[in-house]
Formats: sequence, structure tokens, C-alpha cells
Amino acid sequence: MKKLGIILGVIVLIGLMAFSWYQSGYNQAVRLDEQVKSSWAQVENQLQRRNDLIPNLVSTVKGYAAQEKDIFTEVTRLRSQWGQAQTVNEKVENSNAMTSALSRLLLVAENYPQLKSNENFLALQSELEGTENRIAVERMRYNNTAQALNAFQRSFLGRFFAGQTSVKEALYFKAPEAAHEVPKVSF
Amino acid sequence: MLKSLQRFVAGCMLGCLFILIGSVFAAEGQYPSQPQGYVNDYAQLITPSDQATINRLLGELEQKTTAQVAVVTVLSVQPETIEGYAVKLFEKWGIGKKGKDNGVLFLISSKDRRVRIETGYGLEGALPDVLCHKIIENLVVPAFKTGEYSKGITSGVQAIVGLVAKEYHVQITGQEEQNFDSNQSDSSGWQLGLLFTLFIFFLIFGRIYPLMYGRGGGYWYSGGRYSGGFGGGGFSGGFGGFGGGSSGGGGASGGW
Repeated sequence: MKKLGIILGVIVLIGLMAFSWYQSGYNQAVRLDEQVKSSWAQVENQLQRRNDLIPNLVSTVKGYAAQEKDIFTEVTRLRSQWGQAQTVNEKVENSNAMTSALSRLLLVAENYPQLKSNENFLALQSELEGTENRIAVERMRYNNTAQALNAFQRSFLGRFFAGQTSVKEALYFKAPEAAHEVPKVSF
Repeated sequence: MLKSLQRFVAGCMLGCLFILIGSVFAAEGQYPSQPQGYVNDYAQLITPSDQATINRLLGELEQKTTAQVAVVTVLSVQPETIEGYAVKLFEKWGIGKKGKDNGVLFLISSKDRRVRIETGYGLEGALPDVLCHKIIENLVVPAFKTGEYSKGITSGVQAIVGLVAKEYHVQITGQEEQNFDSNQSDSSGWQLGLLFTLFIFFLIFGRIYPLMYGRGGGYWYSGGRYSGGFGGGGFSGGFGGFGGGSSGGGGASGGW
């Protein structure tokens, strides 16, 4: 009798341990996925913030450089395209295209000295710089959470848990090509 | 016996070399692990009296509003950009109170000739990017260009303290109004006259408080509970460490 009790006790103990192990792995997969989602939400916040600056920016530049139609069309088109983007990939592509379009717009503005000294334009330029920096920061944080999730998923047991929770691999937000230089530091 | 002594000396010299290299790195492109106080002047730009002024302002600011401002000067932030370095340092030190995120990092990199004001999430309203930009371009950089680093940093701090204090509806003793709006050629005379008068008013008003409250008591020393802790440097209104706040990359940068 006693032996049976011990064996049962051991089985129950093992069962509890297995359950607790399963639960912690499952929870970790879910937690990492939630972190990815919430940091992506922050990225979208900043991208939206940038988009909100655009109408004012375009109309201010137009006031001095109305003939530069192409760049205005491009920026406006990308802005409405953002509204239609569904997947993370689509949004990343749109965001990178917008970054490049906006830098071209600012380059155009360089040719108009009166525009460059316009108070409104300077304020917008400052806001835009700030927003681009915020996007860069949120992108970096998002990529960190994506990395944590993907690393977990690819780990030995992570695969199993990810499958259990139907958590998918996270896509990285690759920085736009132009951003790779950022030579703001003077040598 | 001689040989082991030789080895010992060699070991000491190697140790000294490492310490030397380490301390160079401490100021160049590495992140100082612990804040020393509100002012962390690794690049030795700030005069002792300006440092005392800044500490007083920031101590009172934290005491009255819980907002925390860190002033950090380093030799270089390379290989990072000043934006990247600022965010990471801000995160590392957790400037501002957790939850409120009311921190500001005023970062100056002397060799790179770059300066940045980084705002915590909670102060993005009080210190929007545009104003940070104006503070840098119209107050800090002009002073830096003439080599007056300490003065430039102090004016920057004054401006930041003024804006944060306004947000929290408090008065900070000794805070002097700074005009960081870009000089407009069409500003009429009376506006300048008004500004000048206000400036003088605050100058006088700011000077009366210490006379009223005396040096021994009152505001600055109410942070006395910290006086045992962080000692050294001789600042009052104690610094008790940063509260774990975070930043989202807001603020502005400039160069000279």
C-alpha cells in the first residue's frame, strides 16, 4: 500500500512539474508576442504622427515652390496609401518610401531661401526631425521585441510552444536604405 | 625575490594602463553607468559656480514638480550619433519618475560639437521639439560658438527649467526668463522693451527670495534627507537618483 502511495505521489509530482513547465513556456510565447504587438503599435503611432504633419508641410512648401508638383503628388499619394496598408510588410514599405519622399521634399526646399527662413516651415522641419527620430527609436524597440520572439521561437522548445499558441514569427522593420548613413556625427 | 617584485610592478603598471584606458572610454562613446548627480560634467565644461546654480535649479525643480533633468557633457559619443546615444543613456539612467516619464536629458558632446535635448514622454508637451530646437539654436549654440560653454549650458538649463516649471505651474527660485525666440527683424521696439523689463523684474525677484528665506533654511535644504547619501561636490537640495522614466526619442539636436 505504502509503495503505491509513493508511486502515485511521484507521478502527481511529475505531472505538476510538467504542467508548470508547459504553462511557463506557453506564457512566455504569449508574452513575447504581446510585446511585439504593443511595440508595433508604438511604431504605428509615430508613423501616424508623421503623416499628420504632411498636409501642413506640403501646403507651406507649395506656398513658395508650387511648380515642384511631382514631389507633392508623391508625398500625398504615399499618405493615402498608408491608410490602405494592411500587413506589417505593407506598412514598412510605405513608411520607408515616405521617408525617402520626405527627404527629397526637404531637399527641394533647400533651393528656396525664402521658404527656408519661413517660421512655419522651420517649425515643421523641426517637428519632422523629431518625429523621424521617434520613428527610429520605436523601430529599434520593435525590432528588439521581434528578435526576442523569433529567438524564442527558434529555440529548442520554443518551437513547440509557439506552435501551441499559434504565435507567428515577427517581421523585422528594416530601416530605409537612406537611413544607413546618417552622418550626423562630424569627424 | 627581485623577479617577483619586477612582475608585481609590471602588473601594477598594466593595471594602471587599463584604468587609464577605461577612464578615457568612460568619457568617449561609452555609457557612464551611474549618474553622479544632476550635473555629470565628464568633458569638464562647466564652471563650479555654474554647476552650483544648475544643481540648485534642478534640485528645486525636482522637489517641486518631481521632474528630473540630467545635464551630461561627454568628450565624444562616437560611434553613435548623438540621437542614438541620448536615447540609450536616457534608458540606462531612467531619467524622470517611472510612470510619469518626466525626465529631460541635456547632452553635450564637446569633440563631436553636437548638443541634444531629449525629452521624456511626459514632458513632450512642455518641451516640444520646436522649442528644444529654439533653445539650442538661439541660446546654447551662439554661446558655444564663442567658446562660452558653461554660459551656454546654464542658459539652456534656465530655459528648460522655465518651461517645465510653467507646465507644472510652479515658480523656481533664481530661474531667469530666457528669450529663445529667433531674433525677428520686424519685432517692434515695445516688445523688446517689455521683454527687457520682465527680464530685469525676474532678475530682481529671483534675488529677493534668498534674502527672505535666508541661506540656512527654506527651499534648497528641504532635500536635506539626501545629504548623507550622495555627498561630495557640495550641492544642496540633494540628488537621490533617477526614477526610471523613459523617453521616446523626442527633443531636438544641434551642432556648432
